[in-house]
Amino acid sequence: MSTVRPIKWLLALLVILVGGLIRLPLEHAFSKELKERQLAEERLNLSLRDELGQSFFIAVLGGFRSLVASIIEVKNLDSWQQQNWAKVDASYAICTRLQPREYHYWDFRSWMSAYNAFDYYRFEDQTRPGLQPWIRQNLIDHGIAVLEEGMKHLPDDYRLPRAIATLKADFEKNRDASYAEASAWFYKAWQLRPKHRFLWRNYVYNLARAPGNELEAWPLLLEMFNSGEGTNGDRTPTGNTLLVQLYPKVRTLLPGAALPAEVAAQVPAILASEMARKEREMKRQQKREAEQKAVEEAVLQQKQRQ
Amino acid sequence: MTPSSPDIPRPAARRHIRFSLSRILTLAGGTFTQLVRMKVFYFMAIFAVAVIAASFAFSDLQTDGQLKLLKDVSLASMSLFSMLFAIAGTALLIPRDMEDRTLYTILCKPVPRLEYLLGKLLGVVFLIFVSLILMDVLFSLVLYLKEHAIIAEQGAVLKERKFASREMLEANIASVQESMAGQGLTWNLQNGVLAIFFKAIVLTGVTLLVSTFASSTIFTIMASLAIMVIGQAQSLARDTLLGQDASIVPRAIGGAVSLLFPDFKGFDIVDAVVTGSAVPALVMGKMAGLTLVYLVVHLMAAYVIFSDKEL
Repeated sequence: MSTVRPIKWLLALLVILVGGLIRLPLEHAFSKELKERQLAEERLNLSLRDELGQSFFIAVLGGFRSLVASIIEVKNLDSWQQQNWAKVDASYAICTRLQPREYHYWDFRSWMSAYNAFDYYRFEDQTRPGLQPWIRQNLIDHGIAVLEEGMKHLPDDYRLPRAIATLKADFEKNRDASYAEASAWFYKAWQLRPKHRFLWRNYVYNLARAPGNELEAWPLLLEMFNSGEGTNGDRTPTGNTLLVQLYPKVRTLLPGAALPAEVAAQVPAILASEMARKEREMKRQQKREAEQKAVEEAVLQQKQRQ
Repeated sequence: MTPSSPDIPRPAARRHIRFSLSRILTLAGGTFTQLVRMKVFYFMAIFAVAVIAASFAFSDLQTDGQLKLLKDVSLASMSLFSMLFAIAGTALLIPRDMEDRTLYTILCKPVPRLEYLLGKLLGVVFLIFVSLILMDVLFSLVLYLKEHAIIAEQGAVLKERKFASREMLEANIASVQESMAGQGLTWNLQNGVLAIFFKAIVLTGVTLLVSTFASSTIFTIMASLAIMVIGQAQSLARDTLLGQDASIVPRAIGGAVSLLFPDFKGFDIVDAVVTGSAVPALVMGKMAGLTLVYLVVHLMAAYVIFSDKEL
């Protein structure tokens, strides 16, 4: 080091400082652009250090954030197999904080809560029968809340509102299910990805099923029918069934309304098929309830013996 | 009369060019060969094992997770290896040349010291470039094969499964398509590799600067690693130091760190690329420009120190 003259040291320092002064505004503008285009990494919260541990935190600082999130997900497989749902959620919460713009983590965190943990408390864990419905509803609500939070980071991803819509339309699982809300979420999803016609059709189906929306849904169902069959058309058996179901109500509100001739000819067959479907569903539901009751009684008897 | 000496044609004296690209390229080629002879490409075996293992491991994960893990492991390995090459490769160069006396052989010729530094820098940059290309080809191939295996598997599942409605079938097809579009092999992934390359170039420039005044190879490596860590954590530290409530001392420290050390966070777009966000060519162009600014500054500083250093 002594072989370099002090003036050269000063000159080198000056070059770096002047370079820094030239570079900083460019860098600042570039960082801003990356943030605007959502290409920059999200700001790190120092509280993550405690949750991740030192080595993972250093790896995150070193630019390996995505890899750390993947490793956490892989490590989480054990908790999933052990059905430790609190730990599963905590791990996915870290993944979503590390990579909030990764759809996969929001989807999985919600799915783990609203489907896997839900089914576990429905079919396997019966230790607190009185609390089960409350626990299950909380899991559904949590799943929806996770998806809503994900939408703040991924406002253009149609899959998140679609997942919310699916949960909102599931009357079997969700005590707070609502066709009106489901249709609104399907509509939002369709607005984000208009090429996916199944989103549009789901919006119309749920709108038609929501009481009070008959007049709004009727022209949309007719439009679907008129678009024809096949992959380019929106005519579906579900749409035809809804036309038949809505017709009596629409006729009273809109005297000129008429069923398309093709559908009118199939009314008895459609109603019979719908009746049969409902019966099948009811039997399935009764069977499930009987199974659930048997499990609960077995648990109760076991507790009494203890 | 003495017989006149025959006219022997003499080559015309070549005028010395102050700055010669061919000299720089010769030096760069020599540096590249020198590094290749150190058997650095053996790292490819480790990389291949990592990529292939990541493609087969953890089949319990869903398709999205499997592809993401493969991309994460591959891109992280590329990043790690390129940074190691940038630091270790550059740190070894000047001391090795001094040890072998090659440095004196080169500099006693009319080779300006700036050309020597540029040649060395380009040699390392070329090595990193070739290494990244090799890794990228292997990674892209494995990802392509994995992606097509998943598409075939999912296609078979969709064919066999009976869906309750047309909407469910279409939703499942869309889901597979979205997964492949977001996590499969795309040209956009190459932007991530390019960003890794740019970051490695900046690190090479920094290491070259350190090696011009360092007393030992180990010092160069440690100092460069420290600068890399500072560069990675700089934005986090700056946010804290330059916060609204910060007093003058932390602000001054934050400002000095920003001026003196490179900020590598601007090159970390790999996360965005992995999640499927499209990176426009304009952004990559600006990143290349920023890399050039860093390179010029560090090279100038390195030249100032190296220009009349007693060797």
